[in-house]
Amino acid sequence: MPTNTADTRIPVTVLTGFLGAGKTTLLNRILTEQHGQRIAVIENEFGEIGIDQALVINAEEEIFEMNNGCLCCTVRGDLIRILGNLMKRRDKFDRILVETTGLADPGPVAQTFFMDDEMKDHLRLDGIVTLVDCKHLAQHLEDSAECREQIAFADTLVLNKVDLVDETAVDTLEARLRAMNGLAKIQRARMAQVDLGQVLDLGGFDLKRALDLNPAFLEPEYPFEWGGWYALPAGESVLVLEDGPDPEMSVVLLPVSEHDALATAREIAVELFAATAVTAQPGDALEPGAHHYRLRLAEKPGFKHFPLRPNAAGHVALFTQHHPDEFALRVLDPSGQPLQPIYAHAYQAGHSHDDTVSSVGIVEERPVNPYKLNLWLSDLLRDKGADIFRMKGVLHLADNLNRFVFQGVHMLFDGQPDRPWRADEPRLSQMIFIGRALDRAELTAGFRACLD
Amino acid sequence: MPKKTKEAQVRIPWRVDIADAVQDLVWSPDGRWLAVAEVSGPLLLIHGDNGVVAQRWPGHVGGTLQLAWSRDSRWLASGGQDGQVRLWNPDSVVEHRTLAGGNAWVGGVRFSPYADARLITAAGKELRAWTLDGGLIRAIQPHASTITDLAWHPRQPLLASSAFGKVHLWDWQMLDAPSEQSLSHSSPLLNVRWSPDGRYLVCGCQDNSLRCWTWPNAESYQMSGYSAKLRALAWDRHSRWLATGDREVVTAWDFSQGAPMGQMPRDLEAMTDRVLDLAFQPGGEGLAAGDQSGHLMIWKTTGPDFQLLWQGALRDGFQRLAWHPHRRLLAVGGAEGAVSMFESAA
Repeated sequence: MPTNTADTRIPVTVLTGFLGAGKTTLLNRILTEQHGQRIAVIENEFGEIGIDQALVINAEEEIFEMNNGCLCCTVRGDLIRILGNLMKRRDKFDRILVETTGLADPGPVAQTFFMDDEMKDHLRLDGIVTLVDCKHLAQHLEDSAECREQIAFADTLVLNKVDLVDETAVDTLEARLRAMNGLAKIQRARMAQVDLGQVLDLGGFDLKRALDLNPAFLEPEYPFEWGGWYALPAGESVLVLEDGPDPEMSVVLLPVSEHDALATAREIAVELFAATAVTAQPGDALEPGAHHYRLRLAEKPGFKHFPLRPNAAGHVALFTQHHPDEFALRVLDPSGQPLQPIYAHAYQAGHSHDDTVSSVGIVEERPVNPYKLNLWLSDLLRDKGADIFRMKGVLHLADNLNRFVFQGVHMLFDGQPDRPWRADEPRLSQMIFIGRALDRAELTAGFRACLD
Repeated sequence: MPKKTKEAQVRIPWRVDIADAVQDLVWSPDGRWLAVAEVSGPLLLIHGDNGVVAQRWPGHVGGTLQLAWSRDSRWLASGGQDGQVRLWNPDSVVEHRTLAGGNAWVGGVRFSPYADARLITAAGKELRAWTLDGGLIRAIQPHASTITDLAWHPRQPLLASSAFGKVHLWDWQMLDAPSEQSLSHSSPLLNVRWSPDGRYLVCGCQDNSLRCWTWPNAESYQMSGYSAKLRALAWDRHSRWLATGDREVVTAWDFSQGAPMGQMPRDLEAMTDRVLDLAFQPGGEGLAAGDQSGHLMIWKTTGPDFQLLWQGALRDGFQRLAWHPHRRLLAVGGAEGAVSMFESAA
């Protein structure tokens, strides 16, 4: 394996998204932009593209199951055939774009670039770009496992058609997608107009950026999804909820002083959530303090009011089992006006959402022992590979001046030495897993056991 | 230029520059013509004797995929990415006829080896049989996925087609009611070859293994342990040796005592990269193989032995090779353009 060479393989960008999400529009934008690159496009749906400088090939998706020793996976046979032919040509392409069908599971297309020796030697999966239609995403997330997988596999998520929904709804969607895939860059777009730099050349990843976007990403999991800090005026404020995805919801209300940190309240809330709940029916008053309330929401349709009875006007912290947006949860002041929280924080919830897709990120300062890591990953992926959709790492190897980067899809993974560490950057070992039913504690412990 | 490593004399009587990598390279059965397809489409018809280019045809838009000669050497057929099949006559500047191959890349073309001179084409999942005047005799879809290769049984009127998980056997005499005979193996089958005695059928698999069936009783064997998918397979004329190429190694299986179950194959001298093509000399004892880095090796088989006669690095890279049907001539198609003729004195 070369030790200090740039990866010269041709980058492949995979474009996924449901029918109508805007894949063809984005494809046309990429092809018409003046980037001077020769691009080959493998299309699966007969779209309306026809651009002179690009080669467009229509392919019929053929998924092959392959058994190779202990590895079992599916690949796209049509891509192996078509790309194998393209790579013989003397006029090489600078980039390859693969558009999948709307309902495609991105697994087989991604695995193709790891499983076939020829593909692996000449092509590099640069990134998976998933377009979503903001107006219909919520429905698709409910109905379709393929849609959830397309979100989970993405390196970049394009929230398209933001002009068709209001901004709050886009914020909610973004938070939800972020909880499923902590790694992806998220771009909002109208008519698929995105910065192409966020779509092409995604090579490698930056956990720090993922953390900047989603500080909850590396946090332990909490029994609640959201915490907010309110300044309640004198008089009776009211907690109002509508019907949501769950007939009950647990909440904790804590009196806090102006100088308390939300983190302090958070720790108390964790303990209270573990305690036995007091059931509250709509109309019952909630007292900030040492109670964990289970709000019964199915007793009565429509709006449900729970009066808040603080001892006095003052600050309270509210922790909710589900994200407030799912229940249109608001706090109304005594005059009936909605109160905005002074501060709010979304937490990594320990329970499964409507979908169990989540991300686990791990950052360690000590160098990794590549031998131990290889053994651990081989075991882990053999047992859990079906549930681990994507895995990426930037590793600090002992006595090595270069970063080592790798990525995996289900049971397959592939690593390369990358650029040297810069003098001003900390040498960290970072890993991220995106998948179904991930066990954070187990993954973290397993990775730590591979450190030197 | 190639370097000599043994005493064998190899000379290069001619070399023709072409624009792109060689996709396919086929001698006419009479040994007069060498037909060459470039991966991007153009076709060349070259005089085998002197390397003079007799015809340059445009081939297929998008790329030409496969070539085949009729038994009487009068017709060359080509299949391409444009979904077309074209028939060419060596004496004509323009194509003789174009047939609609199907709604996919035409990846397979074969003439029937019989006097009826029919043409078989494979496009996607569909096989079509044609008369040479362009009449479609029949179209069938025996496979659920793209057909990867075609091979005629050497003695029976049977055409084998391979695809994912299955080899389908088409009885040529039952053209109106194709038989439903098939052999199954749950792996993507990349190619199919009959042994010259017709007793074995083998397929290279995408999952780094080789599948072998006896014929006609269809007992099946698997040979595994390869380090890459098997794209190159060839039988010697005695049906004794099956040579296979994976990553850097040409391996020969000895069928002299029946299917070599439980036996170790012979690993020949290592090449430098992935083996792209290999072939035994039709009337002689030579075995030639070329790899992705442009390394060519030629062995001589004598009974149980393989002797390395010659090896060298090709300046034009390597893609395909084809032995002359009667003479000690080997045509080599490069990855960087150019077709070269190698002639061995031994």
